[in-house]
Amino acid sequence: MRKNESTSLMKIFSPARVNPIERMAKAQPARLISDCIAGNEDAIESLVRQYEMDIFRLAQSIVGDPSEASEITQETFIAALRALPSYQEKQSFKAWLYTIALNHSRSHLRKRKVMERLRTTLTTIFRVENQKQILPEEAVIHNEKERELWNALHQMDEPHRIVLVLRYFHELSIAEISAILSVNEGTIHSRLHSAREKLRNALNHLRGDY
Amino acid sequence: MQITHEEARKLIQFNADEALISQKKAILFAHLQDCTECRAYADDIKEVESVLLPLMKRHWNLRPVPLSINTLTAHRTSKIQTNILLTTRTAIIGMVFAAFALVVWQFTVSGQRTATPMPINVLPVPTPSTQSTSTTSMIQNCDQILYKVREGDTLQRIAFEFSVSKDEIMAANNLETEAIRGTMELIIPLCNFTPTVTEKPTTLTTTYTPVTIPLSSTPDG
Repeated sequence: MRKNESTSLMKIFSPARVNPIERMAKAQPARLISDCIAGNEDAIESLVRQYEMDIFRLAQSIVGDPSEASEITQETFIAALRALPSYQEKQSFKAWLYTIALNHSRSHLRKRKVMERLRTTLTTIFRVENQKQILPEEAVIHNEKERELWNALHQMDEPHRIVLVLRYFHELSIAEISAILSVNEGTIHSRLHSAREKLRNALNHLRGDY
Repeated sequence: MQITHEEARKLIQFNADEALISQKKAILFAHLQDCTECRAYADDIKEVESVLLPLMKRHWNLRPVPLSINTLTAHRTSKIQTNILLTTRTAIIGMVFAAFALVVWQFTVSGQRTATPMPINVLPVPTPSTQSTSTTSMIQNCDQILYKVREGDTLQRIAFEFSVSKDEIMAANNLETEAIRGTMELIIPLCNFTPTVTEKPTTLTTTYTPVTIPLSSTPDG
């Protein structure tokens, strides 16, 4: 019994990651960046290929729609290549790029909110029956627990959802998230604690404990 | 070291953030060994993480369509071209504005000239030069020159020499008679001056020092 408890406790203290090696930030040689600024297409391609997957997934995790995420990825790299001369080497390149991607994603979300309001208004005016949409993510939800957690995640406000996504999906450290969002580390901790608490409550609700 | 359940929960959360120093970890570990309630809480948090992480990975597992580098660099170049275009446009607008300002200024100046027309009798004062002799003769202007009378000069001869009448010389010098002496200096009024002494024009310009008195009166006055 004591041994089982120790095993359980060890599990609590082990970090929650799927692939810890992936998390290691790749060093960004200053040479590559200066080549990109000079307009070297090979350097630009190398930079884009290195980060496009991360940026796409970040955008997708925020806006949901893959085609919109592709659009955001392209916009992010266009903006980053233009702003590259203003990038300061003392800051993490990945964090800098993520900040640009996040700003573009938020901008898309704002546009979408406006569109949704418009659609709601039109629906009300023309009395169109609002049919329940079958979301594509339904297919990848395996059980009730996952559904409950997924719903809870999407009911959260944007600041809490983003820190969870950056922490768990992108496996970033608190310091990195703080740099990306330009918010102090204490606030990041606080948002994460609160977000986890909400998810925990969702699971308890499913169990009937809540 | 004893900690409360509340403190233990905080430490569990910080542990999930990987922001717990080893000393605090040891304290939490000791607390969890004896506290079932806090261990259950820690298990819940661990469960949230263990469900959430693969769920996110499954949902957002798409690979992006590789971006076209040409599109990205074209946008980068278009920015430079936009800057050049903007500079050119600014320059053209500046030039057009300058030309417009010049035209407006010209109109203003000419308007002022029309408003206060220059009097006809105020004419440019001739500049003494080798050409001034002929220039003077062309202009309706009255100058006066001082002529030193030499021995043997007569008023008739002087009048003839300067193409003026004797009466004009007499009037200018308040002379009662035509008699002149060798020591006199005569004022010769030169209206419509046409040098007839063409044989020595340079003498006119160099010998005579015209006492230029700008006249605002009419040429006749």
